[in-house]
Amino acid sequence: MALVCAGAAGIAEAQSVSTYGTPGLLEIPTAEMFEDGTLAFTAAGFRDTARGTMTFQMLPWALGSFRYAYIKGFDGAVGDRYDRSFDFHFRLREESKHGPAIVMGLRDFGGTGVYAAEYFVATKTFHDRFKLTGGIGWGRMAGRGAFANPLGIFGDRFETRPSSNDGETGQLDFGNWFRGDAALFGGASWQQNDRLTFLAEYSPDLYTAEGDNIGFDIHSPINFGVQYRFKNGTQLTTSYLYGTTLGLTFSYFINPRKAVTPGGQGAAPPPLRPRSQVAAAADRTQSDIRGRLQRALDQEGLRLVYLSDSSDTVQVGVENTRYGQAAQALGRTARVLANEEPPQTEQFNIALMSRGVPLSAVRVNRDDLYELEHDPDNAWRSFARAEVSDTIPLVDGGILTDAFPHFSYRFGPYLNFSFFDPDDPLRYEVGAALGLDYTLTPGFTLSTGLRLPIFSTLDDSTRVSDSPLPHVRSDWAIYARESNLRIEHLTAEYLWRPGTNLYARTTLGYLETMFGGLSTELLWYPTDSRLALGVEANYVAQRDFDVLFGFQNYTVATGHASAYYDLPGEYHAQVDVGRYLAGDYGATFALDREFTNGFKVGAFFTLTNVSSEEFGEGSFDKGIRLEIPVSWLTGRPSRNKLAQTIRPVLRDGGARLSMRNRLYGVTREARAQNLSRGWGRFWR
Amino acid sequence: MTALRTALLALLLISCGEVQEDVDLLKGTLFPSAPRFHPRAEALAARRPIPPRLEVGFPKHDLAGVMLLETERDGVQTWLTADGATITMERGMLTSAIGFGGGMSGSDLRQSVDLILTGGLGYAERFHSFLNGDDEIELHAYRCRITPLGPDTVVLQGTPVATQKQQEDCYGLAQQFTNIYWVQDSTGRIVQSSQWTGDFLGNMVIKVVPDES
Repeated sequence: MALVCAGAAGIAEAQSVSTYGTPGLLEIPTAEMFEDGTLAFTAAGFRDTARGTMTFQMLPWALGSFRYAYIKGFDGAVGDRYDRSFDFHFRLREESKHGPAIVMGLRDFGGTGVYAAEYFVATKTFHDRFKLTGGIGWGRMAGRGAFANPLGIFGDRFETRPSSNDGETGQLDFGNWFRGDAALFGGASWQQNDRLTFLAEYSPDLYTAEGDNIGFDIHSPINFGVQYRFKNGTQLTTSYLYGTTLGLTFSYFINPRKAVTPGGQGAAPPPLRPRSQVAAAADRTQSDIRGRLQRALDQEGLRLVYLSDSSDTVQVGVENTRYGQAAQALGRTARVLANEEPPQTEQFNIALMSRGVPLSAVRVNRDDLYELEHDPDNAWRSFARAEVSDTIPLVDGGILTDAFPHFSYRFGPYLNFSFFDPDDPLRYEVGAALGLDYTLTPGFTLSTGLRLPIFSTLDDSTRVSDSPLPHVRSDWAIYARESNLRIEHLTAEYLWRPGTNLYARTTLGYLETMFGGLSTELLWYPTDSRLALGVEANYVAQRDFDVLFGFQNYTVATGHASAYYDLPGEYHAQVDVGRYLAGDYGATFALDREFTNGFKVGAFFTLTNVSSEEFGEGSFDKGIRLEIPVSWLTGRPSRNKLAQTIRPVLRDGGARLSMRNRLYGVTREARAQNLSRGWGRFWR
Repeated sequence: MTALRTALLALLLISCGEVQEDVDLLKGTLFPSAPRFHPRAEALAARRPIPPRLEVGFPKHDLAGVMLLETERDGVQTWLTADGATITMERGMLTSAIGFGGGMSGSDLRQSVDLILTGGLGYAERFHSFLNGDDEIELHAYRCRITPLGPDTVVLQGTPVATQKQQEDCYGLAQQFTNIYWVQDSTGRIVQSSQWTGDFLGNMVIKVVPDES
């Protein structure tokens, strides 16, 4: 659990955003940073050019951007240019009273090279309102006034810049970084008031390729602009660029730490009744108590599946169907137990369970609840007194007879996206989804998920995969075209605990949209550990394009050894090493920023023994992902999340089986690390 | 932002969760003012005699309603709204508000309450814990000046009640707020007040509804 001191000084925030979607003036960068954790979405347009950028302030001193740009008619007879690019922007020096902030930037460091540039930039603020920026740029920025590379003193190789690696997009272009001629750039901004900022800059970019291909004229290196900041922080900038074109830039900011409501809406937990009232009901029978517990927990969105009593301890197992934070489910269970259990019960041992399988247990002392319910520091003090353990030893017979079999369902709309197809950069599919789960006995569940597309542009795609690898993912358009009502999955799954700190899963059936077969997994994950280790082995066959019952001829044995590490400071790292669906061997590296409220922003890449030529466009699999809890949007408790992975291109190399209920995801919410982080909700 | 959130929800309410939960979420987002009755509130409203009531409101948001006393333990009363949100009060002072959207989780107001109930003039320290939008607990401390404003008459259910009016001006590192209390002459209890719940909702107006007996 994190305790935050109020009133801490904020980090100086970037006041303006360039057309590239990073802190900047109009076209040139500045040495500023966004507030840590900020997600900035920027759309910019000027003559025949549109840029959409998502920038994430990953660390207080580093930000990363993904950009999708459109240049009309850039490729002549071939047509328009759609360009994907990634940037990094590192602060080398923080602004001080007498010195500027200094940033090193890499723009479009791994893409087609259309925007490839590197720079060092410095920004100094004067009297809070006036900011002066100056820097030196290479690559695209070495246009007007270019001079021999000053880095040439470190070696002749810096004096020339090889052409970018066209045709092998997606490879890191670090061989070109900071090479060739350089040029200076600079500018200034004046913040008139909280709403209005005036911007002026000198940009050395000559738009040479655009000039050659689409007749983009540059008459002047001086750009002017006015930026208006709306009350919610959104920015709109109008500009006059290069003496020839008008520009418009719009930026929208999200602070993942700021959920729609800070405390959440919805029913508060039941207050603890006075001991005298609880004692007055002490003559209840066991079955009365059980019935009342079940009803009261049900009202709190918790399913009682296990109950056993010893002299002064009650052990319960609950499944949380409502709360994004497991700590909140624990707190509500503890309150219900205090209100319903006879007075002689002193200890509550609460196991968090999933499909009848215990994940971990927390022991809460009844007296502590009474003592701390109204204590202003109750979150921290109650966590210090709670005891998290692997799990309580569940005694046979403790599982409630009416808890299984258990049936649950969900029905609602779904939305799928496909990005960056040059024929239609944003394809989508909207439809109805039905999910059914039938847990026969603890751990053993039959599940299915059906989807019926209603509106779709996914199936308009006529692109044919040119991949020399088995088409394990790149035939997605054929799947979209040839399927209607889809069986997304149809599985029999068994979860169990083979030993202390161990979890196991076996799943048989249609595992995901494109593959079916057998999947087995074992996870080692001690309750109080930041590290988890897992192995997964699958034998799968590719499903027919209609996504119903048939299979194609392609089969593969695929699996991974995985290491998961919960890094300090809201970061999470994962490495998966093994064999992928196309039979290629390699590893996936993923890093996520995870906010306590469940908002996640992450990036991943996969390197396998498939060469970049075999892989095709993009050279290797990579992408970014966003996960937004529904409760973050609504303020009301929910376990639902909106998740979206954005890949520049979906190819066959480095493709992993998309398995539901991987054990790490199932078990993680109940680990001590996660409970500790979310304990602020124990009393909510 | 609200439009974006609503659009996102309307479009993307996908995947897991029971149907009813999703429908409720969507309804709550599209029609935030639609009434939702919580079973605990229904059970409480059915009790006879009717439990003690408070009239409450958030003037900044033009919201008002009635709360019923759900329980009292160790001098702390828990009051419940129809949709299940609660406040806790100790000797008439607001100590937490849960379910309204704001984050006030707990309070230590002992110094303030002693001065307010005795009609004294002076300084007090008060402490609050707040849950923030990232599910973290923040501890805030304030220094408050309590000033008696003299006698005042408030009307409770049509009956004039003689009170002493008190004002409490509090300053913290990042916030400042003003609370006002009306302490009944005959009972020494706070019968009406305007108390700060946090930045999110501002002040809450709380008025005791006298017993009809």
